[in-house]
Amino acid sequence: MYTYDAHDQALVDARAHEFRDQVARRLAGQISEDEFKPLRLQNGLYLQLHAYMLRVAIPYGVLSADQLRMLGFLAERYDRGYGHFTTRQNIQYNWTQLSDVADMLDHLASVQMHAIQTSGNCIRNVTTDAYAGVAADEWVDPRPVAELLRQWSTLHPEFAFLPRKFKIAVTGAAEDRAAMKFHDIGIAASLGENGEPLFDIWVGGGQGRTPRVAVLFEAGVSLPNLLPVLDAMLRVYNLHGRRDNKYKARIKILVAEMGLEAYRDEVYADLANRDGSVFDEAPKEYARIEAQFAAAQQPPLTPTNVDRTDPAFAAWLDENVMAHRVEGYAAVTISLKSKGAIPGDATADQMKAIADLAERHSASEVRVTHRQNLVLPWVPQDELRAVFDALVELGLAEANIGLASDIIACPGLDYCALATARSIPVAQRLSIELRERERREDLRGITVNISGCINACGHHHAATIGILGLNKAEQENYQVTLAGRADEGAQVGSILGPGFDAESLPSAIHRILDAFQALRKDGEDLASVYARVGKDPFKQAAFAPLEQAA
Amino acid sequence: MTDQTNDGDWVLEKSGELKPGSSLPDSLNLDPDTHGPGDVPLGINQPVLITFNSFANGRGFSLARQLRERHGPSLRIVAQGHLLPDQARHAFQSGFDEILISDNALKAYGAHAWDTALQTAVGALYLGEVSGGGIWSRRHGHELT
Amino acid sequence: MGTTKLSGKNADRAHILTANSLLTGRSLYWTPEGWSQSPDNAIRAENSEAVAELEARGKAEELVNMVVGAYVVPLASRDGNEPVAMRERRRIAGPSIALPGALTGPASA
Repeated sequence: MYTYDAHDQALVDARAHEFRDQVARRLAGQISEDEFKPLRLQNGLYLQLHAYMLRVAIPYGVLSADQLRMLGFLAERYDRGYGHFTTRQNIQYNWTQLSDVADMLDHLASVQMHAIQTSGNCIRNVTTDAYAGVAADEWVDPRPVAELLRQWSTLHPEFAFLPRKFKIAVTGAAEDRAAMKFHDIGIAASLGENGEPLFDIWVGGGQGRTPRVAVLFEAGVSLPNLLPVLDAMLRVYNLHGRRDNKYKARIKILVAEMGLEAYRDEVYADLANRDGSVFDEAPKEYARIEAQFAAAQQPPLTPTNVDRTDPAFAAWLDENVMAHRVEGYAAVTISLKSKGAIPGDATADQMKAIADLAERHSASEVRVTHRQNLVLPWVPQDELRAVFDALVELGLAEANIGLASDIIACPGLDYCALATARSIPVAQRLSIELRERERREDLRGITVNISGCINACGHHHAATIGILGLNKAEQENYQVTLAGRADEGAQVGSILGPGFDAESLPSAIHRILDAFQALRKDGEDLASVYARVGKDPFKQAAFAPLEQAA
Repeated sequence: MTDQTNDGDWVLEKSGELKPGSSLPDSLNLDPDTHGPGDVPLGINQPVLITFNSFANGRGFSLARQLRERHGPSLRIVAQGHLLPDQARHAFQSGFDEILISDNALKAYGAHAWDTALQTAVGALYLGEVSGGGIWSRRHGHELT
Repeated sequence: MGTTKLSGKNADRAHILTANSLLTGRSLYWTPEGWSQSPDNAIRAENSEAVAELEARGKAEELVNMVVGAYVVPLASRDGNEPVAMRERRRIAGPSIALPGALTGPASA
């Protein structure tokens, strides 16, 4: 893992101190709410439907056991005993108070954490593959470049008041487990012939009301050129991105309106005119960071034949345990999607217990996935049974990673000030029904993602079955999209037709799955079936009973 | 773009010192929403004055940085308009030399907030300014102190 | 918040004033005794002048930095305090789900 030195520590300490001063000046009336809002947002503090919500950064989803323990402590001390892990690998506390936040930031700083740039119109927390450094299909560990980007973007003076938020994701493996192409900038690292990393830069992806898959900006950018190019890309966006309409302010709109070629020309014109010497130290810094991650890699162990005679344990091994790049280990995903659970929520006690497990069985390390689960990345194979038994005790052994009941959901109208409908109750009901169904039939590769408004925090556009909650004459109404994908074959799902009310939605989802199973050949996934047969068979299945009743 | 004299009631300098303002004669005035670095001729002797129409619009920071990169340390770049004390560090780290502050802004945000703006804000960033510095330079032994 | 135009279907509706506490973020409603976490005793504005008065009160309360985001909420009926908007009904009722974890810490008070 990356460990702070005195410089990193001084920076987060100073930021917490600065925020304390900003709160004091707000309370004294020296800053208006309009002016304070961007300042608090850049420290992760939202005003939601019922209370302040604090979003804490988990840079590229990596946590130490001590850090997770601290997150549990904060939930207990300053919130209502739980937190919510998000699709951007962060954690949110739903019930904080303005007067407590500076203290919370001090606590976070004490374990090398912060809430910097988890919201606001700035460069957000950089996300990556939750299995970085452990996945067998990895070409380049994406964490060193993610940390380099964290440092570059942290409090960057030019990019704190951008037209709109800016999200960056990095991958370094064959399979994209970070939804890289749905980010403002996506970076795919690979290994060049000389053993140095090369970076493909993608631009203009995103979800929200104008979902777009990113387009390739430039392939094979070298490490010394990476930050200069990114800095110039951000600068052209800051100078030319629209500020007249917040729905047209993301870089995807700028690139679409300018055209990729014109945007690229502007970026290179800016690069040609600038003194790049400020970036001279970046490759050395990358090497320093890389050495820290390399040192934390564990030595190989003798592989173990795991006893699979217990069917519950075997099912969990099949669904939740991933092959590891280092001999003798496995990566364990802890499902936060038990039957009827709130996706991504964990109690303080669960966080502390998982921290203990990580300390005993996973080199004191935990990851957060963009599908709102947790990972123990370094479990020795002969300790898998002990980890499983402990998770059963905690009620966290649901064997459903990558199955239909592993549902992504945003907080929705139960918490969020922007939401148009609830997400969580829909996810809870579907998780119960789909969990039953996937015991009987193969629902691998089906992703169900639920957003409570068009902003698409629940990634509904990128799901094989996406659900978007809308407000139709003050009633909740749920629109279904099909055949979206978040992986390396990223595509935006297609809207099936009119929405369903909350009561009829689950049965419509079942009929869509029935149609999928009937149409499926040779284990095809839903996106392939959809590509072959088109929308109509699914539409007929989903709406047929409703039309008969009408 | 017009040439005119501007008066700031107060001036915050890059050193963090807050002083009573003096007139800024013959400045070249830029609106970051409409002007670019090409509007400032190379070798210009006038100071450049960039106006922030809204604190939430950060274009002025990128424009200042472009000008600093192209013109070097001799160009005097001054900010005015809607900026918060909290943004003083953004301005200076982006290449501004001074911020003009009106009496109204001094009263609204508090003289103390302006006076201590650079001590309160985070000063040491990873990436250095055009003039040097930064945590990466210090870490890798290139800091000239 | 801008002034609400009392046109169309909301013109004849009663309104109450709501905001969030600056310090705690909690939803609040304006009553004869000041701000309350419950809308039960909220002052109802029954005509456009009364609504304008409530809005002016909201702005004044924002200026003294007690609350943020004050606005008026149209009610579904002349009797009862149920808002028209689903969002406002949820804001009053709180989350519809069973919250995880024990209710500990000062925030649960």
